[in-house]
Amino acid sequence: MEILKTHLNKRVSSKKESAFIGGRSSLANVNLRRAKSEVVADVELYSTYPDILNFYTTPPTYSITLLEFEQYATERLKMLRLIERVNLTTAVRNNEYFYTIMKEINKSLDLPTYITLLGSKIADSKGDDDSDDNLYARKIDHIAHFLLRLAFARTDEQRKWFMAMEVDFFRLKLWKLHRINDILERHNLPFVEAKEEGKKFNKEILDSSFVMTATVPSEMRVYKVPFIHALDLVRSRKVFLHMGYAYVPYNDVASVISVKFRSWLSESLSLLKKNIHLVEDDERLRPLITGFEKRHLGSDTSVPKNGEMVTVAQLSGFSEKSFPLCMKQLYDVVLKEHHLKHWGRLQLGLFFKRLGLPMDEATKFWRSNFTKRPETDTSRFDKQYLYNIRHMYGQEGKRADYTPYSCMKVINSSVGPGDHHGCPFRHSDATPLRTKFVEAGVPPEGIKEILNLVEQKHYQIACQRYFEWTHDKLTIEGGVTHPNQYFIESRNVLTGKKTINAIKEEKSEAKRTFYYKSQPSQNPEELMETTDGAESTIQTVDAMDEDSDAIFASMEY
Amino acid sequence: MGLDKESGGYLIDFLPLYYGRLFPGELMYRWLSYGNRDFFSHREFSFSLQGDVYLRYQSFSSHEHFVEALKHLKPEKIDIGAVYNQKPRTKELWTDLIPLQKEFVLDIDLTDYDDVRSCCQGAKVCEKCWKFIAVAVKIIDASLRDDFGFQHLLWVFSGRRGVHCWVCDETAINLDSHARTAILGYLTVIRGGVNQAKKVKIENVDRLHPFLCRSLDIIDEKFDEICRDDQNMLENGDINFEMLPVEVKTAVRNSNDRFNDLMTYLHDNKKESKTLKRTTLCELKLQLCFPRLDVNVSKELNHLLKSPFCIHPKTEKICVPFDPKKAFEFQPSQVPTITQVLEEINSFDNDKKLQSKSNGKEDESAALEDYKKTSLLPFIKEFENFVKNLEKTRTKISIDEL
Repeated sequence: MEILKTHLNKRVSSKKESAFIGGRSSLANVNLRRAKSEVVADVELYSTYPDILNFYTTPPTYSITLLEFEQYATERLKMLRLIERVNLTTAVRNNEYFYTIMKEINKSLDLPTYITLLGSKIADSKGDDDSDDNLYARKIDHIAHFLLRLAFARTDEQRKWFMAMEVDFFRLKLWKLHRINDILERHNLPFVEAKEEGKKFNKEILDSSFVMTATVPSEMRVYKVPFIHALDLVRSRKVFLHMGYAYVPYNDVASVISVKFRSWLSESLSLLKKNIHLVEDDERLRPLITGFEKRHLGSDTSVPKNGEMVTVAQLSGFSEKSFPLCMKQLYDVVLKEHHLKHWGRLQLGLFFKRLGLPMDEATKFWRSNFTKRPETDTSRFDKQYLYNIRHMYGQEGKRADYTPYSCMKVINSSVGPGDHHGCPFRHSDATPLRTKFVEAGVPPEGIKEILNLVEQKHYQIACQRYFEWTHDKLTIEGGVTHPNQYFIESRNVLTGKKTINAIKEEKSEAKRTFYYKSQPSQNPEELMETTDGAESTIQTVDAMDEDSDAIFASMEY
Repeated sequence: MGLDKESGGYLIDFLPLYYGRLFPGELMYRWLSYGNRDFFSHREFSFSLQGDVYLRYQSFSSHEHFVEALKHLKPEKIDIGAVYNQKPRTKELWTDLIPLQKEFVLDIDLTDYDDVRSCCQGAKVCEKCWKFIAVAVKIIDASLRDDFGFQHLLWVFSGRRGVHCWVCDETAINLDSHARTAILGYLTVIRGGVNQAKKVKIENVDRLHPFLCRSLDIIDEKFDEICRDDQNMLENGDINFEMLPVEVKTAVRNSNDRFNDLMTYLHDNKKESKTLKRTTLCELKLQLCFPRLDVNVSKELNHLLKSPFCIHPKTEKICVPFDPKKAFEFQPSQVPTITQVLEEINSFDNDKKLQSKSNGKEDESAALEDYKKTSLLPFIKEFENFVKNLEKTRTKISIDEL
């Protein structure tokens, strides 16, 4: 497989920081003595892969068969799909998140490499497993990553997805390893220990950090990195910044390392994109790589394609009963205030698109409503808003097919003053919600039930109950995951096509729902609450941060 | 659009004069080229012309070329975009036009403060609500400098009801979209839409991030003045009152002097619920006065933002830079308009003519640069300082590297 070597050998090197050695480790000082007394049969493998962590900065130079190509790539894709499924259930990367992934991995029947690689015990074991099997798994991990790069290099969307999953997988390994010190040393990361500033800014550093508590001793090591290396911490404001540097306490270092990994991966993928055609020209590889991502599709994203066309005239009637609350809210604001801010327009506009509202009808809708404002005449409308509408329908710019927002996306939206978008169950106080429920004809016990769920942050279940209370106790099987799905289900009920009753008995209730507590767990033994035999609907958890890249809970120091 | 009905459309006649005599084309070139000619020629500009004509992907090889285009096309608005891998003007020749660098920009607009200002709404602005902007400028400026280490910040009045900040350090120009989003996340405190009364949540008031502490200190200086005296907040009907915890609301609901009573209550350390009170006080101050940024402007490299020294079509005011340290002294009402500065040139020249007639000396007005005859002078000086500092840093870096 020389072709792998030739076209993938684009090492990412940075001028100012020491080159980061991942796969092929040139660690002259590595100590072959290990924690366990097990004899390492394959010394060479061990020196190449001293731990399960891999920054994938050097491509593998082995030879493999086409069959192995397919096997390794497929297995890794399944691994990444597993992560994708778990990601749908939570936005926070805390201990529970990683335990969940580990649990899923260990349950699976077709991820042998990764079960070996990550060890089969959920409870954290202090020592590394340096057995032959594990070393071999590290090698396959290395190869498989580079194979998948070929399959996911072409489009922006593919690259984004691949990067997101690989970063989460990387974090999983970091979490499993949890001896940050070794990693720092082995992989030459651009940290400088900041003894003076650590003392001088001790209080500020402790106050800023997520994981530090008052009881952590002040001789905790503090590292100084330019802020661009600690973006996750910066974004959630969980680090002390001073004159362009982030002062990262030891325990937060994992987040910083992940960011570094992501940026290197991103650079490599961009480079690869330019040359991918060379690989695709190879007839042996082409059938393997092209269309790869379409296989082993993850969970059904339940985005129904509504074949029928919809007109503006129908919208009003639909909005009364069939729009989910998030869209009804936006729709009502447009009709009443003749205006909607950018994100609101996007959330509603894309919903309309999937509904089957063609672009000219959509334009009619927005134009007729917005021009009711005195300062917006038709030409002003065309100038300011038409471009965006056309963009939504893929008629401008890069002409992408923008997908309508799922519940996850809506719930996790950034909502600021003056905004009406987002998920009403999350982004409204009880009072306005109550008003809406009363208007919709929900009886008092229903209102109470829904508000209760909202308080416990079970937004999608709350929405489902809202559906039930407004649709004669009929329900959405599997729960609400997408506004367009809500709409279709509603139409089905109202046109008599569907009659699934909400089962109110205890047993079935337990069978249907499977949810998480949102607090990050400090106790490694604590697992999430489940109900017996559950494996059905997984509801979302409120992210404490709006940002999905939160840092993990405390690690050993 | 853009023609002030009262001025009857003669703005279009003034623009070439303005661009030819007052617009600081050379300084703009010195800024945007960053010492590199190619940098300038790869920069995208866009022009909004009369009759809603919008021209994108304009680029220029020199500052003369740039100013000539301005005089010729008379744009009502100039936008500055990113530096691309190719000259934007030659867009048709390339398959890929990729933005490589751009200043990190921030936009603060008073319309985002509509839920906390009672003196004005929407496009209206006055010296009372302007204070919100001044507070925002101070907070953001301090953070960009002290936390992020940026040094080259250009703060510009956007012409009517807001300000822009252009961060021009080399690190800033090279930030990718991910990094820009992260900085915005750091600077954002207020979250929540129309249906959420409470938009700020502090987890632990004893462990406030230093950025928040500094910001609260800045807010403290003006809090009473803005919220009580100017905006009459938290009185009956103010939705912001709803954000307070029930306990607090009950204590002051029926008071005649609600704001002051609330402050007294929250500062009272003797009774119970001390932590709740302190937390509420901080949350209240942040919700009412913390900066609100328009995040869409800052995230992407290919975003275009209005250039300094444009004329705002509705107010005719010039979008002038100002010193952030003097944010409270800056008054939008004092910003010169295009008509005003052109008249100032005329009267200056006329005076000099008369003077030289009467005392027989030469008329010096021709030799003097036009901006020095007008109220634009201090603003051009401000801009000049900014550009000089940028140039100084560049020289310093090259010397260090030798």
